[in-house]
Amino acid sequence: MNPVFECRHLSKNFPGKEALQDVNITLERGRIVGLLGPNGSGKSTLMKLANGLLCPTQGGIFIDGMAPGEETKKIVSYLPDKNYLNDWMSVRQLIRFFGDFYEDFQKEAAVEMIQRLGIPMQARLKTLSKGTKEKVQLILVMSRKAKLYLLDEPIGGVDPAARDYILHTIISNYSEDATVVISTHLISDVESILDEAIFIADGKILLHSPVDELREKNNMSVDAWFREVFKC
Amino acid sequence: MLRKLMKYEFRATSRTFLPLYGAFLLAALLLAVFDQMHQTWGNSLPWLDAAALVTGIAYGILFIAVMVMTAVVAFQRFYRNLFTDEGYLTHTLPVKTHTHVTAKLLVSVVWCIASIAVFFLSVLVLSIFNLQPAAYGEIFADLVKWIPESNWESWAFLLEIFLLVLLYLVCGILFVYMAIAAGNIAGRHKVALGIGVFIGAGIILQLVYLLGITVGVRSTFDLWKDIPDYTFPSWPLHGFLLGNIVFFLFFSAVFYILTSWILKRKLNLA
Amino acid sequence: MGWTFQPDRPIYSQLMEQIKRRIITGEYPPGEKMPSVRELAMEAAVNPNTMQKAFAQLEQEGLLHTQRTSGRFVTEDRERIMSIKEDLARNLAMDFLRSMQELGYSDSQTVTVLEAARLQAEKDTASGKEGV
Repeated sequence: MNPVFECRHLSKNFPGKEALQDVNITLERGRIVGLLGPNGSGKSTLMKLANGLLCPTQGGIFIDGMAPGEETKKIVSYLPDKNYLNDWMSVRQLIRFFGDFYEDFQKEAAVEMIQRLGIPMQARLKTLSKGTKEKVQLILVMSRKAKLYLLDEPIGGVDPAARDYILHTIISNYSEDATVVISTHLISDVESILDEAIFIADGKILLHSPVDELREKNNMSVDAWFREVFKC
Repeated sequence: MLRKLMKYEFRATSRTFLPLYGAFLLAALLLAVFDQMHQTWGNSLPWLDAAALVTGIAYGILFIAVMVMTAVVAFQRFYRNLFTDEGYLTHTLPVKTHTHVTAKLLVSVVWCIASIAVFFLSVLVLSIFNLQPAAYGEIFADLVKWIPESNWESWAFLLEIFLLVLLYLVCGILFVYMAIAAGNIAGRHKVALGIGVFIGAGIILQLVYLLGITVGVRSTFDLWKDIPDYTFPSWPLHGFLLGNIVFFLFFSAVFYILTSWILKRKLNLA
Repeated sequence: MGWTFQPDRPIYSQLMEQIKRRIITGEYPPGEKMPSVRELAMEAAVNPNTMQKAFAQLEQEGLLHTQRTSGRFVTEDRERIMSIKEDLARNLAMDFLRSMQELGYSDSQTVTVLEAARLQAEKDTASGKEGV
């Protein structure tokens, strides 16, 4: 069985910047993985490559053994670090949109989560507060039964209660044949739900290890270890 | 998938066009009304002068607006939907890249045709008080008479001209799409590159066209001598039209393939 | 009792401790069916894989056992539970002694302090009752 996510000697260059250099990663199913690194380390670039929004300069990236394309987009659910949904659409219209294009979208689950949060279905996205907008985006992304979830900074800029809600949603959505990759620089908040941690800086992978191992070896939290490793 | 994409394209674009068309036709109606009132009561109600003038200007402005918006929306949708933040949603849909191009192209063509139809409709509305059903009836009768008298060649001409106009439109849209896509390959100075490609490809296109015409006319020169006599079947004319059709069909395909390829292999979303 | 975790130790071993506590206090009585891995993981806000690891370890230590299709159950071996309880108590006591030693108390002084504290606690409970 193919690993759900694999990078082989992956490099990506932009004019004036080497965003990723010789990245090699293999992720198996049923894991919650943290992609941890400072701002500008290449986390977003890696996720965009996985979604076919960028093309590699060198090397390959594979989802379930396939290069990014129509087939991988069916099994990858991506939450970008920006507002990318049509502002003028209502929540109901967005749910219908997702249902239209994604076979694995679970409409009832999405509707239930939206209603439980007290968000009106007919509200247009642009009328919602920033925090609510982010919750809606997360609900839409997590309501798909995908094989790979790529969440780019899902908890940044969100209040602690919303953060708890987001982490809770991620855990409750957990499935043995899906893998969730969370990229963030707020490590202490997500540590307890991670299986594995990948440290990335300046486009290079520094470390890829199970979280409990890191704690045992270093006698400190991943957050503390991260600060050690990235001390200025 | 194509149908779904087109459904959402229409939904997004009709938010602009339907109100615009509505306002345009309303202006036409108001103009016709004020003009008629002016003719009947112009002397006793001087403000009708101003009213007719204002609505006339509004009609003119909206006329230009419809033209401009049809072009703007066609290209702006393409750019925004595929090359800006909206692209995060568009490009992660489980759809082949070229399907996106097809969807946008078809929707743009439909709006072009719709805009033209609305223009004709507005002309009809303008003359609503001066309708002469008799005149229209005469034209219609003439047409009906002509059908059995015409031969296959007239139909062929009609079809060829229709196809040519359509292909010209399609090719033009795809040409701009390609320039936009090509421009985006650049890391910086995307607009400059886009314009450069636009001009460069435009020049190439014109040269090839000239070449085609020259070669075509040269090789069939004998046939062209007969044109003044206007005998049927007029093969040179057919040849000319068909040559044009092939030309635009070929380049439409080229631009389509190039645009799709750039979207698939050279995408660099910020 | 909520689930709290120290940042410097592996989560699965902390989960094991906290589940053991709950077994000892009777929150998970002997012979009772345990909540599912996923349920407990959500309650504790941890990764289900980590919870699974804790469960597996506890099973190895004989505190939990799996009945093929019905899930995981707390052991009915009360003696084992009692011995775990005693282990925990002893560890607490040793930790306490060590902490007091760091403060400079000898072991016999520590016992005196402890006795005084016990008497004080008794008095507080009694006066509390009077207040009611």
